[in-house]
Amino acid sequence: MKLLEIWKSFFPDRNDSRNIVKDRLRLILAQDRCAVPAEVLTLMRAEILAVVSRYFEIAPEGTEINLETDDRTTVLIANLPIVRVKPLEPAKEVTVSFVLDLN
Amino acid sequence: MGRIIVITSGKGGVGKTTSTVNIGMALAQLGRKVVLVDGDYGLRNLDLLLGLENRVVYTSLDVIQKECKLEQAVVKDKRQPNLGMLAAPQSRNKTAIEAGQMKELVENLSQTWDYVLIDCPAGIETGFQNSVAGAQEAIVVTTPEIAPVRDADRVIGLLEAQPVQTIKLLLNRFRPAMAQTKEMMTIEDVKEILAIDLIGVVPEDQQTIVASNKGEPLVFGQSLAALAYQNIAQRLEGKTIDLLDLTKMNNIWSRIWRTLTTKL
Repeated sequence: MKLLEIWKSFFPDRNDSRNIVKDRLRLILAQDRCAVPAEVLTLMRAEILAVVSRYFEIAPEGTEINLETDDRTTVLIANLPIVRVKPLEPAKEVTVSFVLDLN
Repeated sequence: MGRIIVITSGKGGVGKTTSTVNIGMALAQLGRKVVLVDGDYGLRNLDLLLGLENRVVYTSLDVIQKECKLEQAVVKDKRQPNLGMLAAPQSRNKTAIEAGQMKELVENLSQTWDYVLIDCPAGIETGFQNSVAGAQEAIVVTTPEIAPVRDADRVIGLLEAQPVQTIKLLLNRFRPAMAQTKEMMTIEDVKEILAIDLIGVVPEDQQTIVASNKGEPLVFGQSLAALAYQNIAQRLEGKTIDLLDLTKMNNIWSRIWRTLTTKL
């Protein structure tokens, strides 16, 4: 047992800046390496919103659509607060046509 | 055919030029013929760190435009005859040459020199693309901080898409005391995050500033950073040399530190 370790066992410090920077870097690099161009995300957000808006009225403030990466898996997280359900319109054909290559 | 190695980083100010100069000089001291090429068109600094700024007559642009011969443009170092330097033009911008021309230039140099070290400019645009064009090997310089590590990762990704065969990491400005108190990433942390092999670790050293003030490479002196660069040169030569034990630095603070960390 080292003196410093004894000291640290009394005063555990999980938030030392070394671990903070490592956690931040892991997240940033995962996003960088995944490399989805910003314009693709913007386009996808607009299309997702257009589709969902046909069925629900969405509160625009609070709307969030983002890619999040954790432990080498990337997920798309959409947070769309619904104000009310719209009456069902006759279905229109929606064509979503773009290819997203994550590699 | 000599080895063509680009020293790059993405982020500016992490020690690309200092590393180029000192690795180059250390290799020259080992008896190798080394030429350093400044890839930073418009912001050249290599000549300053070598103290050769008053001896630059021609630049790499003059060679490309056939204003002079290649051998004429290489400035020989008087202190170390094995070392030469090819300056970049200061008045032109990065679009003055094309990647193909730079590739031809460094390949011509590699006919007569054992090592061609290219000091890459910061950034990942034209200047980077030009500097990387002819390189077979790359040394990516970073410091153990968030922005340089992120940029190093980006540069590694770009280098992997190039015909560069080997990519090694140089961790610069490392502060062992801060890593020990968990205020800075450790060598292992950076290695794990960037996932490439290490060519060396250079400690933060005040002598770096003194050396640049004088225009004398660090490896002329006795500092810890100088020793680190000499070890990197040996590793490039294929020798197996352990990393410096930076925790054994001989000052009062590290002694107190050692007392604290000694096993009871």
